[in-house]
Amino acid sequence: MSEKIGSYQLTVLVANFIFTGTLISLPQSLAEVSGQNSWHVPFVGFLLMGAFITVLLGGKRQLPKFSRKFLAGKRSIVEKMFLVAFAILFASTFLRDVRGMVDFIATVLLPTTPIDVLTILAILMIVYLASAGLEVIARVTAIHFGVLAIIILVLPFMLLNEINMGNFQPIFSQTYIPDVAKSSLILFSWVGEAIFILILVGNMEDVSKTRRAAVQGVGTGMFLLVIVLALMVAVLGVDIVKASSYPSHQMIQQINLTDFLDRLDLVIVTVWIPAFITKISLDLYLINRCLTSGRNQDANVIIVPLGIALGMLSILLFRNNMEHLQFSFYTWAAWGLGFELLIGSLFLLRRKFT
Amino acid sequence: MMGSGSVVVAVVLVFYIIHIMRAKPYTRKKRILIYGFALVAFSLSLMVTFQGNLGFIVHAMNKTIGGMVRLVVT
Repeated sequence: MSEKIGSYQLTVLVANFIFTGTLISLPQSLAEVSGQNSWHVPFVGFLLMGAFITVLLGGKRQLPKFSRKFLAGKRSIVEKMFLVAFAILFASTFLRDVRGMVDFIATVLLPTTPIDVLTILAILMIVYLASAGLEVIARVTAIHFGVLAIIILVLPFMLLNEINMGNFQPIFSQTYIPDVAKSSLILFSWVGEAIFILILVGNMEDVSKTRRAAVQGVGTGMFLLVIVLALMVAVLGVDIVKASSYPSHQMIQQINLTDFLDRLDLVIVTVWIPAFITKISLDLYLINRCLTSGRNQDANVIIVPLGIALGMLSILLFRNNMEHLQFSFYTWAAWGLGFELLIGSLFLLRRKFT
Repeated sequence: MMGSGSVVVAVVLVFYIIHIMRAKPYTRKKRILIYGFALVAFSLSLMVTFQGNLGFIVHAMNKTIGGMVRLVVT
């Protein structure tokens, strides 16, 4: 493997991967199931994913040795199945994310621009970044995610005058545990996308730090999601979050610092979109990597038509925004989770027989 | 404007094929793969232009898998 990333870069990649995707409209689904307690759900997501990563990556000593053998030389049947499952999972993620972003732009920013033109323009950016390779994606992600994280951390202060603490009540109800458990089922399939670290194990500068970096990334992403969810509930109230297609955007529209800073939401959206594009670029990079059998040889030969084909499929597969939302909220919970568990099992199987 | 997406895709694919074929000599198998992928991408963009629909796939998934999850969580 020629491309190498550090543990900090992996942390940022993981955090960006699981945070920017969930930001679009997932809070609506979480609020629908667990109401005012939806901001507790990322804590459960972090614990579950942290445990999952710990089980998968195992001890520090064996991992460097295993990483040299994994996806190297002649592929075993388990490795081939791993790559196929990986490609299906991240192709579905790519389709869902591209359509999510394009629908958001078409609804909020550019309502009169045709959806296919928006998709192609987005795809061109994504392909350009993905073809530059993992190191470039990691560096660009570090820049954009850094700015996005700072904005999220400052959000509570910008929305201070809009917060109503009464919206958090009642904190514990009789159905608290079942509600949070159900929401965790929805969230876990999104957080589980952090499983992409398995294919990047060989790209780490220090393989023994992979587990720690990945858990830190999940922790960072979930911490930022807690802030966003808690603010949404506090500022908008559960009823509005449940009814809104884009509750995060609606929340940042409430920022009212001065009279002349009227459309601060656009500034925040223009920070979020590049961060999301880096996430989708990583999706495309991972699919391309699987199709080239995890090797780096001639890696970018098919990336352009592959990106365009998947982009066009994201338009063709979802008849409208509602179907996309239904897919993201409910179908993804089973589809994504199934593939993530399958990939995890295959990885463990491969480790066992090394 | 109808067809603008396909035109952009066609231009991008032509530039891509010219660039990739000049880069180095590929084997016949690899050339077929490259042209095949480009053709699939262009066909899908034509499908989008003529308002084709593969929505039944996701619709069926939403009704089956999504329906079951919905039963559990709501």
